[in-house]
Amino acid sequence: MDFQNIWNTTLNILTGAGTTISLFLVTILLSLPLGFCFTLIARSKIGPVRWVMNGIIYIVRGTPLLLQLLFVYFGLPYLPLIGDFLRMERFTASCVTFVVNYACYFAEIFRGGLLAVNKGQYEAAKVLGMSKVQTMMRVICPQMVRVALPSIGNEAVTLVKDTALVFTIGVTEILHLTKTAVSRDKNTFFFVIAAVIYLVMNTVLTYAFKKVEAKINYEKEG
Amino acid sequence: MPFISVKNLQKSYGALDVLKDVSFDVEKGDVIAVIGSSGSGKSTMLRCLIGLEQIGGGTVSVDGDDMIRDGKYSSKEQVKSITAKMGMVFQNFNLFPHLTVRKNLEMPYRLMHREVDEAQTHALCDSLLQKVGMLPKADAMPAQLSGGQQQRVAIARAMMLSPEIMLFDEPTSALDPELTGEVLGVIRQLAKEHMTMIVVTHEMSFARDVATRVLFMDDGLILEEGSPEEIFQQPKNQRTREFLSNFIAP
Repeated sequence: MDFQNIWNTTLNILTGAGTTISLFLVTILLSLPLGFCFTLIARSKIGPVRWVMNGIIYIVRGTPLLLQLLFVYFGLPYLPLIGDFLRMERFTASCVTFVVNYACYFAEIFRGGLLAVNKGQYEAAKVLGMSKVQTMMRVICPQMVRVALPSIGNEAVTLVKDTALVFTIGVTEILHLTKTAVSRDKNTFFFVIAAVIYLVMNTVLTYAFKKVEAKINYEKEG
Repeated sequence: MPFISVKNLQKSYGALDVLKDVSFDVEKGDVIAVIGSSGSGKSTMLRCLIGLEQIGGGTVSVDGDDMIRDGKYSSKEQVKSITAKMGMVFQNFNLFPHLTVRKNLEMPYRLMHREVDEAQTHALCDSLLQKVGMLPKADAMPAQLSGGQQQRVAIARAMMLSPEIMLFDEPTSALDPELTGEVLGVIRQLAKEHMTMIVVTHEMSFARDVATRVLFMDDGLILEEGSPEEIFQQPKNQRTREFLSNFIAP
């Protein structure tokens, strides 16, 4: 084996990790707040608003992310009239698809988290003169996040792996560069390197979530 | 003029009339014990007063201001300013589990009194925790406390907003007998300081010893009302006698 070549190719694949990490960060940072908005909209008092939101969540969660990605990147530009305005860069299309897709999953997680908060908490906040927004921000959300965090951690790990899907629309991320190197050098080993990079990222991520979970576990006794 | 005046209060859930026609007055310094079997409407009545339940009909006025007149609510601002005069303590404490004891007291207070600085807030918080005997646990999380301790913190938290009247909704029903005493002790202390209170309770000896007046509720109505002596020694109503016969006189 040509170690120099393997080393250089590994460095090249790592530049793709930059794209992967960018997509990951953009998705996490935007889909969490968006997902929370989705949760609130899905609980709206106005029937049609609620139905539309739940419909979107239903469709997004019920269809493959890969299909959605292809739809956004290849499909939207063919739409009559507005298609031209929906032509996006590969990376932008990936971000848009991932953010909306993950927001829908997070919306479901947050919904469950909200249900887990005792009704008495809303009442206590109310009799203490807190407004609805204050109650949400200071009483309900912190408790919801604690319930939701393990599930959010799971989704984050899945997200790291899902980023590989953007390979299909030609984004030069880890898998794209790996596949190119494997074909060029006829060397399977690069797949192992790619796998290790994903594993390292997920190990760091899992560890970070464990730390945060431990930090906000306010129900530990003694 | 009574401090709180409740006239013909009505409340129903669908076809179920929980409160049929409830009228009573509360004077400043009164300690009113509301007794009666479960489902008689005691808690609902309390929750209607502080705006946790929508009232169906009747008139409630506090300190001369109408909260609701003949089934019509006053403006949101007025209702809010009226309910702000009341503090409430729940059966299940409802402390905020993600905040320390101190933050449970200080967070709502700071939201309401943004002009007060931190040192003053601390001092007020300390004095109230001291009063309920919970100052040593100021930095504990609610989950680290016993039920009785949590309820004492909940009382201090309500007191933090200087209510003119305290509503207690079965404050000891979730506690085992050993812990009941410490919570009742705190409420007794408040009574001595002439805090106006309405206490929904199943603790008959507490009602007899501490209350200035006792209301006996049954099936959405106040069947009998009087001094503890009148209610416990010479109940006039047959239903009151039946209810009280279930409690062995100590």
